[in-house]
Amino acid sequence: MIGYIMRRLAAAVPVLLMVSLLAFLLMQIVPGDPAYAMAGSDASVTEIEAIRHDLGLDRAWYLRLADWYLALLRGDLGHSYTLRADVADLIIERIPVTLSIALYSLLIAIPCSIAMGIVAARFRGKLIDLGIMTTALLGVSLPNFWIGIMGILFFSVHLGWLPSGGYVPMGEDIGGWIRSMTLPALVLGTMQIGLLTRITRSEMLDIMHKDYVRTARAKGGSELRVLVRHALRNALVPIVTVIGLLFGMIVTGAVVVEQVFSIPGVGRLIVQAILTRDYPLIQGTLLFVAGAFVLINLLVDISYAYLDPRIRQA
Amino acid sequence: MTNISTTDHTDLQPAPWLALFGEGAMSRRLFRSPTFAVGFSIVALLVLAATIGVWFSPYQPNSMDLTARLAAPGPQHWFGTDNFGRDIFTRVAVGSQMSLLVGLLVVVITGIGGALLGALAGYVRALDNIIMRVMDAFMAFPAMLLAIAITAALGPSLMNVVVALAVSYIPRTARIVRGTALVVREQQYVEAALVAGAHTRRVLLVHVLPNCLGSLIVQLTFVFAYAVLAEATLSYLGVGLPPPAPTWGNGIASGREYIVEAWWMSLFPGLAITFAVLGFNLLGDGLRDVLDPHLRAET
Repeated sequence: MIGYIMRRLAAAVPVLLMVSLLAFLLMQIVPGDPAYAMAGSDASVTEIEAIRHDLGLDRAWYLRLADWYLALLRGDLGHSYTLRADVADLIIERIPVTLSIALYSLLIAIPCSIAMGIVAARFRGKLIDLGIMTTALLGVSLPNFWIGIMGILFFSVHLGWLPSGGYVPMGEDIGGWIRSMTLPALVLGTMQIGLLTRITRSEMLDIMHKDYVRTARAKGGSELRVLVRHALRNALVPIVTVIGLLFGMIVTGAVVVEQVFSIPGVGRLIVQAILTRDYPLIQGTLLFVAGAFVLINLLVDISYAYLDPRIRQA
Repeated sequence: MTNISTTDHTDLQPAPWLALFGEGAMSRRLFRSPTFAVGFSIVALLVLAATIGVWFSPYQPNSMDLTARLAAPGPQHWFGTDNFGRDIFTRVAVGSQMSLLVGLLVVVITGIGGALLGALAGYVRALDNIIMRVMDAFMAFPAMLLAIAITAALGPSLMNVVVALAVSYIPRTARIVRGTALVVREQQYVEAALVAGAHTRRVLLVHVLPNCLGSLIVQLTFVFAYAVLAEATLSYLGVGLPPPAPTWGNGIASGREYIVEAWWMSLFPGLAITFAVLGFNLLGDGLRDVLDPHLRAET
């Protein structure tokens, strides 16, 4: 097991190197010069020169690349122009916000989709299966920014139950946090429900034909006991790996949902960085997300190997 | 011994497109799947809406009528009008042209790039590690986020949106093609072609690639669905096609500000996106069941 973990860690290093190189290159493909774009159209030549000097754009590319990596080793992601703060600090400040919506949405999505997947698999081909699978397909087909807006129209404008946006920190007022986060978490959860329901159903269908499920039935176990104790437990392993895939979905979902509901999280920071052409901030936030993505997939791989010993050998 | 390699061995394996479009049962089997049939009908309707939908409208997508600002849906304007008095039905119809165009371009570029890189990595062992590590790095960014970053760097325009989306989906497509190519390269007909003296390039293009086509087509159908959804999301976030363009995403973005007075501004473009994405997802599910039963929805 330790050997497996070491090998996976070693494999992650070149990926992280490539990822950081990509984040660096992204700033180089900006047509013209990031300094022009950042300074705006009415900036004087000296202002642009000052920005270019600050960004180090007046230096050779290999020196900038070396600087980029040296700074990364110190955990320094650069300095935001528009927000006048350290990029790393800006990200760290916003992590709890995004993390809390993400967890809230998973808390809604995981039980819902496992229940829906089991029911659909149990009643395969029946009307209820069709209904659940159509719902799941809608979940992956609906544009989340649109359901967000429709949710605001219905629950905020029409019924007046929930606020149409904004953020109340959990520590200040837990009731306010629940009210302001429920709609965003539901919207963020729809796509996850779509994906997870489909996967749970197909895994359950695979497993329900296995001998040990038949044995459990033959022993006279109740249907619920057979499904949950025998079938679901074995279906959970592949479902767990999908959680890693969900991360990408949650991050992009958070970018959109935080924008729709004006929530000050990491996703909104990325959009803000892009709309204000704050290149160091764009670079830093992207690298942060990609790095987190690599780490989460690493954890998923390791937990998968822990659950299924055959994988360690491969 | 003159040039055996270019004569006989090509017939060792029937090309998949014969099975699909020839007299064989493939198309009949496809239409027997309700999933495929529904998906196909939706996509056909969409193409119809994009081509002749505009004929039903007396309006131009960008012509403003300030006397009819924010008009509710009715006989004059089926889907109502927006804050500039532009007819929303017309804009949704023209929007379907935009979405299908972006989807098609993304699929073509992703298909070519993904197929070549995937087949190379799967067949030429020496290149596998290099190609796949680079692909891994791209895949470390969530697809949508990479697309956002690229359009943000290049600037918003149709071609940049297409490039950004293709770059985001090529690695995922390449990985799937590589997986199939790894299986195909062990088949006897590949061995036979090699024994007959075929060149690597020939084996790759004539034997390996055509046999990866099934999984490629399935993947590209889903890429079409993602591309339509992603283009709308990019437009909504303000990094897609710039505003006067009547894309569905732009329609929803401007509708957000008038949500209280004019719900129809964001309702109809959103329904159109859902309809389109649903159609391509169903089409992909149906195709997968028939063409490539082993492949599961991974993304």
